[in-house]
Amino acid sequence: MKKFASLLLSVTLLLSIFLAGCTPKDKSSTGGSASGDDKLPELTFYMMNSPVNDFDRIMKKANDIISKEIGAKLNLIMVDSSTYADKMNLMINSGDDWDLAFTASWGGINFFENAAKGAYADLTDLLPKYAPETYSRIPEGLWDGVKVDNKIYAMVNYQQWGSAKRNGFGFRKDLVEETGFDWQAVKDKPTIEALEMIGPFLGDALKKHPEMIGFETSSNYSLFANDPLYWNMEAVGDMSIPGWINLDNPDKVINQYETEDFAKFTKIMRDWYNKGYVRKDGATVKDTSPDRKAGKFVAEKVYSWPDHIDYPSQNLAMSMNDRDGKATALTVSNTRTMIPAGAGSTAAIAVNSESKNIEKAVQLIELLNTNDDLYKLITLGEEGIDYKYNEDGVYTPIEGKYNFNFNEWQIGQSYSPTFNRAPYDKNEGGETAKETQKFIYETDKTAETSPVTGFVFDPSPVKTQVANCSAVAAEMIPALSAGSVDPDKVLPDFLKRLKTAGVDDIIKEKQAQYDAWKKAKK
Amino acid sequence: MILRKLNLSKITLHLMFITMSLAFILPLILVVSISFTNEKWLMLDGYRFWPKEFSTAAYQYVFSGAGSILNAYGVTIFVTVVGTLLHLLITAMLSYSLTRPEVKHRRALTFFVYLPVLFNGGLVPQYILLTQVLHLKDTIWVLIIVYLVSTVNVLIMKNFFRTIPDSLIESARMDGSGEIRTFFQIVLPLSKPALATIGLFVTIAYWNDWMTASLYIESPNLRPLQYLLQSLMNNIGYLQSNAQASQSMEAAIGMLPSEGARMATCVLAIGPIILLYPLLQKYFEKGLTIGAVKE
Repeated sequence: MKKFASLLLSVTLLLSIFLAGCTPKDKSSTGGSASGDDKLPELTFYMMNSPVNDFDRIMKKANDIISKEIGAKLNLIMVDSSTYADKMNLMINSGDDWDLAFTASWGGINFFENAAKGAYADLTDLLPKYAPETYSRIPEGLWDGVKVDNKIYAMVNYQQWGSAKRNGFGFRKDLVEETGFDWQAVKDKPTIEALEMIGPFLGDALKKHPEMIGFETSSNYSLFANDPLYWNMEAVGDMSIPGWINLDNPDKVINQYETEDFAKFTKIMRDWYNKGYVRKDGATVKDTSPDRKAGKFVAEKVYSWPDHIDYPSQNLAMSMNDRDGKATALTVSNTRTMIPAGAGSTAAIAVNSESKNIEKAVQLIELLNTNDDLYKLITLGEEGIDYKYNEDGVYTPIEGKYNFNFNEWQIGQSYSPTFNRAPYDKNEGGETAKETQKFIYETDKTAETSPVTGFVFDPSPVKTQVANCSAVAAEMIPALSAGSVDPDKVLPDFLKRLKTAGVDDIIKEKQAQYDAWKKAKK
Repeated sequence: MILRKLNLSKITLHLMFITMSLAFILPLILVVSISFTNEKWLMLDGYRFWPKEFSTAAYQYVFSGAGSILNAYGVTIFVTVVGTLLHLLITAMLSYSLTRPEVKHRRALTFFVYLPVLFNGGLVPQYILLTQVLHLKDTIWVLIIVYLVSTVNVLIMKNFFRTIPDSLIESARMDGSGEIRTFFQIVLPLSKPALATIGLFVTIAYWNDWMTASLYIESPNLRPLQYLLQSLMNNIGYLQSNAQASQSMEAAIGMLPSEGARMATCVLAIGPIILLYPLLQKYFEKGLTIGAVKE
């Protein structure tokens, strides 16, 4: 026992020495790195990312460029995506130190709330001064999407995929050919009609390939609740709260779950469930990526456009499959082309209003957006070491080396007029990709914008109702969208529970705020 | 003979517990089996209790350094061992002092220990304290210090120390033993069951803690195992439900570790801790009744 006691004591003593030594050492380490490099200010930049290999090697090279160009250092901090929103909100609420951070209006990151609170620096005057190129390259309408009270609070990361959205469906090419499905007929059909056309195709394909799955269902994603554009609707405020508008009647806020389309959608999914077109556990399954990687889906939702009718020469694959593998796809789009209300705040970078180096931070963004070599270094690594183009000219990351996990859209604009910021394949496919992106960029300038653009819903007057309705929706939507319950029985019950939870108050409040906002705009 | 012993009620009872045990053990076996299954078969064939094609690729991937699992293992073990020892030492010393009649104001002190159960500051003040006052953000100590004292454990320990007769301690003092020596050589050896019970709770708490890391740890090489596991499991759901934000997101989901690798991480995460139970069981049964009877 003596031994045990002395062990405990010595461990404690040792630890107290460590602990005592820890605090000052920590300080000197943050100060030390700055003083070693001619006292350059260090900018911390928070973003979400999975672990990255060889991170230090790339950051050292990147900092050589950054310190030479703007006289600062970048300290990029990666936070796991599932904890990012909570962590950033906590840092903001507690006044912690940070300079730049990825921000958005989805997934709990709360851009508008934080901007209204004064957490983000007002960039209205700084942008044209310190980031002129970034400012001019992005369509004017997108800047409106990151304004609160007419002040810009974030820098939009304009993505190579453009801002205008046009959704559709993709089908396994080999199965389309095998069954003779008239996929082109789906073009521009309302989604209900499209699904009714796809149904028989799924049946034919599954008869020949019973091991496959017709359509993807999961507990995270509902083709209805998560994707208003498919239903010619648009969310007013946060998508998860009831209260959307129909784009053909954009003045009236409606409860999207009371629409005829939702009833029809749940019926179709129930039918598909009974016929075995979708997974039996679709209401609870979280991760469908193994199914996707195995190329099991016959048809799927598709966000990419122009489709195969507009550009037939495109070489596309089903989600998470190789473009030259067996699961190649034919895509067709069926919704309208619109820049959604949240387009500006889909991906943006905010600067901390308490930061000591706000100007430097804006300069850093400009550098990331204009110095293509720097951007490619951080988002792709070094050519030949971290990635290569194989003999067919296809971009191939080298396994086990630096990999930014395709999160390039968080730290800057991935679109560039010269196509020098993204890894295009050095072959015909790459050329087509550039062509389609040029087409998207041109469309972005003329596409209609959502009538809700710029409107921010303040949920505080109906907080309880929002919480209650969200809980009901979270419980029922996955089951209804996956077809695992009978909509004839469950849908009326769901609507009744929403009513009890106070959905009408939310709709009324949304309508009132929306009307007031529209009046003020005129 | 045997038949007569097995009457109906006994059989039902056994069946019930067998079913229950199976319900606990089968998922575990499934996880282990998935972690050893060839990835391709996993996609095509689904889950099986016995892998159709045996493969250690998942473990090779996990240990290849891509997920920095080994490092995380080191962090977790360090935090668990040092954290548990410190927790036990501090809890024992604190609750011993609180039971000694020689200590003045011990009722006030006890109340001070108990107060946070009723009112606590909440997350934001805690965050401010740890990051801006103590400057513990992104150090390994934040993982340990947050759980150093738990009111419940102090109360359990206090109740246990009450059962040690005062006369024992007094006689030690008469024989010339100092306070520290009495504590370490007489009181602590008598408290082994209590220490083992609390130790087990604390070890598991430290081992399973990922919340602290998600809030305070930023350097990849200080991330504990459970944090990696947690993010492996949650990232997919988060990214999938927000996939409208960028078409790059789909590629990002594709970069996440495969099913097999996730299960291998699971197996590694439960591995060592599961061995603790049989080792501590004999103390555990004794310890369970601690605090049940007040004298």
